[in-house]
Amino acid sequence: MTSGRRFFAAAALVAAVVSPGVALALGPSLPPDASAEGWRIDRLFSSTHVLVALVAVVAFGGLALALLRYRGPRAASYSHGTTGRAIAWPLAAAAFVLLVVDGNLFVTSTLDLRTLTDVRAKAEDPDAVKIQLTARQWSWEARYPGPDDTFGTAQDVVVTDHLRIPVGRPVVVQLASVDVVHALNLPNFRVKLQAIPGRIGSVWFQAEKKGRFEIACAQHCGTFHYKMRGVLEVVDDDTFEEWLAREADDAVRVQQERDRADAEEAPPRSPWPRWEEPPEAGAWSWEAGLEGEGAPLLERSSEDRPAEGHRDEPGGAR
Amino acid sequence: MSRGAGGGAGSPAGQSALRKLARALTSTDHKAIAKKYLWAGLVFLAIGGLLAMVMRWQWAHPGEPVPVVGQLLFSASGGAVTPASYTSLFTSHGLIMIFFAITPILIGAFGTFCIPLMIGAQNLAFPRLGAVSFWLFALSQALALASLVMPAGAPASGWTMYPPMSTTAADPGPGQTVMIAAILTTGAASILVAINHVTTVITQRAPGMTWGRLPLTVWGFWLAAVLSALFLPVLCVATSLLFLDRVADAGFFLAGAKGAGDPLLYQHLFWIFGHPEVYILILPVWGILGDLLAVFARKPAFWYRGQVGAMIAVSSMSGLVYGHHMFQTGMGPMLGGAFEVLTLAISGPAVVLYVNWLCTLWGGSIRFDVPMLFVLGTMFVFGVGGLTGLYLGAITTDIHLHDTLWVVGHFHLIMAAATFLGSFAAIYYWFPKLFGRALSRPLSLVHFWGSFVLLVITFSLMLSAGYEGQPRRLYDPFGYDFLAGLEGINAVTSYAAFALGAVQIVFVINFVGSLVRGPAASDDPWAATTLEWSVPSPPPEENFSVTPVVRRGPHELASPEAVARLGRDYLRQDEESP
Ligand SMILES: [Cu+2]
Repeated sequence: MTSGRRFFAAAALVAAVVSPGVALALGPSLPPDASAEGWRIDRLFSSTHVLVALVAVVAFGGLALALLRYRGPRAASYSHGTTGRAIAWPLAAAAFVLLVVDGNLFVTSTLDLRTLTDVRAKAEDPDAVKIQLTARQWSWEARYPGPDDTFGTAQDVVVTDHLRIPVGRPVVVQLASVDVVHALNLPNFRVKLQAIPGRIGSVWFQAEKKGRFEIACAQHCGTFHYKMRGVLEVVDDDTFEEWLAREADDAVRVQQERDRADAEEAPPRSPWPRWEEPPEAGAWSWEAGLEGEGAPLLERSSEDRPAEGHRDEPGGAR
Repeated sequence: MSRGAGGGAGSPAGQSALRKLARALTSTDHKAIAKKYLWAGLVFLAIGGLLAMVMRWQWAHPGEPVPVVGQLLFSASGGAVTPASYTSLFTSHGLIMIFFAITPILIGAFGTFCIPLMIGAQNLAFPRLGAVSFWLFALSQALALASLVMPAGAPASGWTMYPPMSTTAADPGPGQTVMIAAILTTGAASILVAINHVTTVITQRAPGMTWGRLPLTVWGFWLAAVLSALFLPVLCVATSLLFLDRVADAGFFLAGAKGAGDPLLYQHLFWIFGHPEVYILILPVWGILGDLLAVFARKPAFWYRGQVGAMIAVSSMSGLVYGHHMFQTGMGPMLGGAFEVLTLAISGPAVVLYVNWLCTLWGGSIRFDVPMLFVLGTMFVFGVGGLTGLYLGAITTDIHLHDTLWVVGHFHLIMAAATFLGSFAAIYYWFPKLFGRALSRPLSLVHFWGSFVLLVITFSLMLSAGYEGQPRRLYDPFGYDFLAGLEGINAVTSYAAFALGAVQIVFVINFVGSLVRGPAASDDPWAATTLEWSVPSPPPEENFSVTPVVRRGPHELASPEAVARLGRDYLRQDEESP
């Protein structure tokens, strides 16, 4: 190789090898954690970064060193790498990755999951806020029990795409979908769970910071998947309780007005089954359906997908 | 290759040209079949790549008209990508790349070309089945293209085609149905190829070609074929049920008011196939790396049995780890933990392979020929891809990363960067043998450095955006406040991807130009040790005029015996000892 070409090659190699390191070390950071238990996940990221960086330095440093030291022509050694001493290298490297890197990942995540999936214990906490969350193309509908603390009554508070929760209290969410598979994603609370038709999923988290955060859909769920955004507002406990009581009063009043207007018509009931805990401790989801589930999808889809073209307006979200 | 002479169709010369064309199309010669797979795969690689460019444009300039192709593809919206067409773009990109580009290039072209030549056989075990599988595959490609131009729109449910999104309940148009038929057809074609490759290696090996002397490339293709024969039927089952859901309202995957089925059942079936599919595509690359590192380091492959053992270990575990794709479906902690242990355990054999490659280089006499550059690039991106996969193997870190661009960056480093660079290592290495001509070295170097550097930049920036939490498959990610700061990184990623696409033009020029008037290649341009280099370039129809007798393993390099007696550093597998 000429020296110019060698310089170009070396520069390109350095750029390529360094860029993932730079990208990962300097660039990105996890979304700010506003939850009580998210630190567990962040801590496992941090310790794994250290171990992965160590492995990367050995693996890619070894590669670079080999390419520099053993570039030809030179007398290559006639060895098949079959001696016990030779195969100790790959075996030792594999043992290190399996025991240390993977071991740390497995042990830490398994221990942390006992807390992160302990929905049953959290639901028994009298402080817990319970929410039945329905995902549909393309919105989030949350149902809270009113002051009677019972789902499926006239006091139920139902809100869409704007949820309020109190700071410092566990929130237990049961999750269902009425059309396609969605995924509840609370990036600032390290929560992600698929909403699968025919199943109820459950997850808990606790906010430690007040503020406005975002609810995202993580599972591709159709044309307007990118607009399936909600707001999660974390407020102090008093504000939350006041808001809930006011909304429950409104709900009851609306219900009474409707009853007066049309006595024969049955009041709209919750499609949800009554609140039940997971059949298995630690299970995140189980089979159960919402009543009348799916009917909205059939109506909706024929409007959203005209037979011709299925090309809609370019939607600038901004 | 002789070319058809001129003359009208009625003249004798014209008739002979037609006969030649007919012979080429119906040929049962594995080399002719392999070339057809290569062309078919490269054309779809270009289509899939263009779809990716259009998608990336949308992330750099959301809602703005796409230059060049915009008016053609999206005339109704003034050339801008619409939310609906965006979902079709990523769906078709994934399906085309996996089933109709990488699979035919690696398994169809190089598996079919290399296996008989490297084991000393005249042809595949079932030559006519080989031809039938290609034409079945070509039909599946035609169906896939047809699905993109169906009146009510191309399939839009993602390459994973999860129901209910992929059922008529959410997408009643014929595009999705035709694409499912295409996948079913390509699955059937791949099963036939797998049966052919598995049988060929078992029954057609030349005398002396024991299992312990098989080139690592053949081991890679053979294990990939075994996995294809085992797991593609599962894909066919999943897509058949989905097909019945669409055309006969069977309701296998619809729950609640719409059926007594379960959408989650599809996810299980799909990933029982989907995870081994990753190994089906990467095993041939691992095998090729093992052999080519030995040839270009001029040193025997380090711990041959360890490399074969690691590939067998990964293959055996491939069907047991699929659950990590479903960690966030609400899987019970016991089941999740089992999948987590098995997933993380795959890193054991993967590390054994990587260190074996490193130790093959160590103490060698490394030649930086073009195929070797692609091999080294593959090693690097495979390393980065593997390390970033660890975070997805643990359930809790996966909570944050699942369905983000981290996942997309990770699997593109393996499925796109490693198989892409590995496929090109194969193309540059065997091009002289396939076509009897040599490629231009300067153009090849531009193609390598451009592709390697830009692949690394593109996919590591995707990892970054995913780490920040950017969910995948968002038409306009910047409607989310928490992603508002990522416009810059997405734009840079897009321009790196455009440059990556532009660099491929250099390859097309090099490939076509060398085919037409590249210098004639010698029979053994790399001083290699395996049997395909003992025959002329390109090989005659029967491959070997005399059936070779194999006398040694595939990596007799730096051989003191050869240096002393022959004045060169290697002995081919079939050469008599000097
Ligand atoms: Cu959604």
